[in-house]
This record gives sequence, structure tokens and C-alpha cells, in this order.
Amino acid sequence: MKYRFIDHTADLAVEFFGKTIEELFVNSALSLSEIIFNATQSEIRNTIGKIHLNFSAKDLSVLYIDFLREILFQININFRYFYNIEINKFSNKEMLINCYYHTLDLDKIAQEIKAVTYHNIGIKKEKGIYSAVVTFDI
Amino acid sequence: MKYKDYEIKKVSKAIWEIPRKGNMRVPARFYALESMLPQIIRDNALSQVVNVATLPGIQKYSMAMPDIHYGYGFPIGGVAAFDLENGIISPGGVGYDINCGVRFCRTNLFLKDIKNKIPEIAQGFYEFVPSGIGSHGAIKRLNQKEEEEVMTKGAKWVIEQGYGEESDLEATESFGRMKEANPDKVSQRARGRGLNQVGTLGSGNHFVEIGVIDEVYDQNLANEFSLAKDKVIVMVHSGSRGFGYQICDDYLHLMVGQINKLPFSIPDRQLACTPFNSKLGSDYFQAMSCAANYAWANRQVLMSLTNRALQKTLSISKSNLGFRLIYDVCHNIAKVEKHKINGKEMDLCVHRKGATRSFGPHQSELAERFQKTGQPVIVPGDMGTHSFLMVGTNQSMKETFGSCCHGAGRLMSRSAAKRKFNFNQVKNKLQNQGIVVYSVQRNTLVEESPDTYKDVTEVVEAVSLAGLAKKVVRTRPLGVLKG
Repeated sequence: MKYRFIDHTADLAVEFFGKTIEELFVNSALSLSEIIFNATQSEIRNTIGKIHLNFSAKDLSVLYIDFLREILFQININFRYFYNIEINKFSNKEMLINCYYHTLDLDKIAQEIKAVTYHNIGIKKEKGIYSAVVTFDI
Repeated sequence: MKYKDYEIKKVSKAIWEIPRKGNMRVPARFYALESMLPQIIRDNALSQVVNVATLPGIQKYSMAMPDIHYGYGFPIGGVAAFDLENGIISPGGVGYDINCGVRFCRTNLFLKDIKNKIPEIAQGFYEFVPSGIGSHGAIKRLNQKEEEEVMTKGAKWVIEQGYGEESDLEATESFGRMKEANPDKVSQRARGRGLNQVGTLGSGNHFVEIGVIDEVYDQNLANEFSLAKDKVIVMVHSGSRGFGYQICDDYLHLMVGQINKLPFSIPDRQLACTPFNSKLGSDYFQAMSCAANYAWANRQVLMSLTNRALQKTLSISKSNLGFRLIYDVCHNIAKVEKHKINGKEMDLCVHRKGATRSFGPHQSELAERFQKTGQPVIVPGDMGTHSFLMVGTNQSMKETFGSCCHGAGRLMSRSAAKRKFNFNQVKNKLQNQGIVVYSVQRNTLVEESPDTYKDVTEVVEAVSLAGLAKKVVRTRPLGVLKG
């Protein structure tokens, strides 16, 4: 399971999973595309592009949120459905990635997500699986 | 009564207090009827009120209004005021949708004039008002200079472009403009997002509603505002769109990056903040003011489009329609205001997140026409039930830094709503009540179903009992456009 929804009174909370920290990051970004466009990658066939991104932060949790913030910006502004992420460099405070996407249209957005919050951020490891609960403003 | 490890004391019928404990610098106070307490406690929003009470420079109490519910960082319905010298400013205490707010307009029409035309009126709103995800286009795409004019002049700029009257500014909180706005503090990303969204409704809980006054509580005040039973009114609810969101996001990111440099700890990174009198604090306040002005411009255009839609649909002239703004309030904002602390007047940074200003009579910030009455306070319910027009009181100035509730407050998560209800169910239920709804997104209608909100009548009762605002009229919806 890459993600599941958690009840939140006003907004949207999602728990993401990964067998490694890197996989958690990648799954979160790809799942975000899936949630927003309400489509799995196999259902999308459109113009392909690639973008190189880099991030740095004081700690891993903030790095994670800042990464998702940028992914969300690319989805919302450029309608990019991310289907693959290559991690070139990764540490608790820095990451360099190549992100591969299909370019879709505004009218393909099924679930609007307006912002990624820093609310109660933290990455856990339980029974060998990494997870994080992210609260989104909708 | 207990909430986790905290005691809840009853101060009066609608006022409750959690005494200081642990890292709390002040007590927490929340306003609610006793019957609302079990749900408030279950929702866990009180933990967020307690967290806010730990922030430096906070004055008197960390407060929450009866429409309180769990948010992120600050609770929705939260009010907190901070000393400018030693206190903080927090984007999370304002919210992402900076100056999300609502305006209430009167018309010359009575229910009998339009009762057979509601579907056409709702369709007219749908055709005239850009709404839904990513909606754009009401005002042509701005150039950089024009966008900066919107940021600095707010509602006044769009009035100069032909949307509404100069007199609308007196009926707008802060006269539709915060003078602290400085476009230099706004990022290129935010500017890019704001270029083509002025005059767009957006999505989620934003709406345009046509309704009718079905109850008058204070005839004198109703007369002052030219309102009467069976008179038709319009409400518009929207905010600063992607522009405001990006500003909040930008500055939260900067403040989170500096959390380790703060001389105090914060219990939740979404409460990231900075001293008000720091460069970052000042920069945020100036950028936030730009977003506030953008939102006032936005609502001014939306109101004007709604006015035009009605004129066209009903084939009625502007003067016969008599469409006029009663008041516009914001409910996600930080303002520098003068308030008395222990008898001494101080400048404070008052954060209202899902809370409305409710200044009473004789407040110098209000236009002349509201000096006798106090400012109008608009409390929209959900789309299936009543909304209220109230007025602020001097009691609210003493009790809550001139603040009260902003709406009904959510009861149920959006996911739970989608599990429990479906589009046809909600639409049919509303139709059976005689309410016509145009919803651009099917999911929105379900997520915003009336059953997902608290009873706004209870919320209004609580603020009335606590003396924070006084009821003037109640309305019920006839037709709604949702994004």
C-alpha cells in the first residue's frame, strides 16, 4: 500500500508508506499525482517531460514537506502527473532528483489540493515500514 | 469537566476556560453552549487552542469561537492577540486563504418577485461568475503594474475599473485596503498565480447565494440597514485564491526554516512564527496585506458580477434592483488594532483564523454610518440552512478583542461525507427544501452537504449569550452557486 486517507474534520490527511525513506518520498509524490488526478499511471498517456529539482532543509521532516510542496506546485500550476522519480542524491538534509511527468489539463484535476501543511510532520518507522501522515489544505 | 489532562471551568453560560498549565502562557477560553461541549472535546480542537496559548507575547487568552474545529496549527475559530514588541506573528494563525471572507448585500426585491425564477437566477450566477478549480478570467489577465495596484489599492482599484461604487468601501472591513501592503515582499510565484484570478469564486466552501430574510430580531437595526422580512439578499464568500495561498506557503516555509533560531519551542511546526517586529515578521505582514487587498478586490468584482447577473436574468434596471453592499468581513487575517489590556491601550497583532471582527458602536475604525449600530457581522450557515446578520458589541471589545464566530464550523470530515452521502442524495434533499444548487464540482456538493456542519443557530446563540454580537436578521437560502 502506498497511501491511505485519514479522517480530518476540515481538510485532507493522508498517510504515505515506503519500505525505505527514499521509497516513502517517491511514493508520496506519485500518490499525490494519483489522488489529484484520480487516475493511476497506467491510465495516463500524454506528453512526457522531465524536470530536475533539488532541495535542502534543516532536517528530514522539513525536507519531506518541502519536496511535497514543490511537487504540488508543479501539479497545480503546470498540471504535471508525476509517474517516475529518480533520486540522484539523498541525505537527511538534501536531495537531488529527476522527475518524469505527463502534462495534463486543468479539467483533469479531480481532487483539488491547495497546500501541503507542516502540521505534526514526522516520519515514523514501524515493523520495517516508513510512514508519514501529511495534512493538506483543500 | 476534563479535556485530557486539562480542567475545563465554566465561566458563564457560554464561556469556558482551561486554566494555565504547563507551557501555557495564558489560559485558553472558548465560547460555546454546554450542549456543544461533547463534540468540541471529541474533535480535539482544544489541543490546538492550548498550543496557541504557549506562544510568546500572547495577551489575555488563547480563544476559540463556537464554530471551533480541528485545523492545523491554530484551530479554525481561533483568535489570539500578541503584543507588538514581544509577541509573534504567525501565518498559520491567519490561514492559507488570506482574507477569506464574506459580504452581505441587500436588494429592493421581495421573495414574491423572484420565487418562480430561482433556477434562472442560479444559472445566471453560474454564467456570470467564474467558479470552480483554477477558475480565471473575470478581469482580463493583469499586467505586473496592474497586479501591484490590486495589491496596494485593494477594492478601490477594481471600483476604478467599473466594478461597484466608491461607497462600497465604507461598507468593507478596513475600507477594502490594508495600507501596510508592499508588493516587494511578494514572490514571483505568488504574482504568477494572481495574474488571472481577480473576480473568480474558486472552489471548496466558497459560494454565491441568493436568499430571503425570514426572521427579524431587531427591527430598529434592520431599519438602519434597509432590511425587512421577505426581502431578498445576496451573499458572496471567497478569498485571495492562489495568490494568497502562495504567500502563506512562502512565508511558512521561511519561518519553519528559522524555527531553530527561536528562543522558545513551539509544539507544532504549523505554528511556525517569528517576532512581529523582526524583518521576517514585517515582511510577512506586508505580503499578507497584499493578499488581503487582493481578496477585497476579488469579492468586489464577484459582487459586481452577481449584481449584473441579477439585472440581466430579471430584466431589471440597476436602480430598481437596488443592490447594495451592507458589509464585507474577513475571517482569516492578522490586523494591528488598539485594545485595552488592564486598562491600558495597546497596539496588538490580532490573529483571526475562521473568526470575524465584531467591533461595537463608536469604534473609530468604523465608517460614520456604523458608529451608532456597530459593524455588521455576517455568519453564513451551510447551504441548506440559515445564515445570520448580526452587529458587533462593546462587550466583544472587552471579551475577545472585538471578535466572534465566522460560520457554522465543520462536524464531519470530507472523506466521511463522501462515504456517507452521494451527489444525488444531497441535491435532492436541497431541492425538496426548495433550494436550487449549481455545483461546478460534484464532490464539492457532497463535501459541503449541510449535514457536515454544526447547527449555525447554536453557534449564533452562543455568541449572543456571551455578548459578542447581537442578532439583526436571519436568512434562508433560495439558490446557491458553489465552486
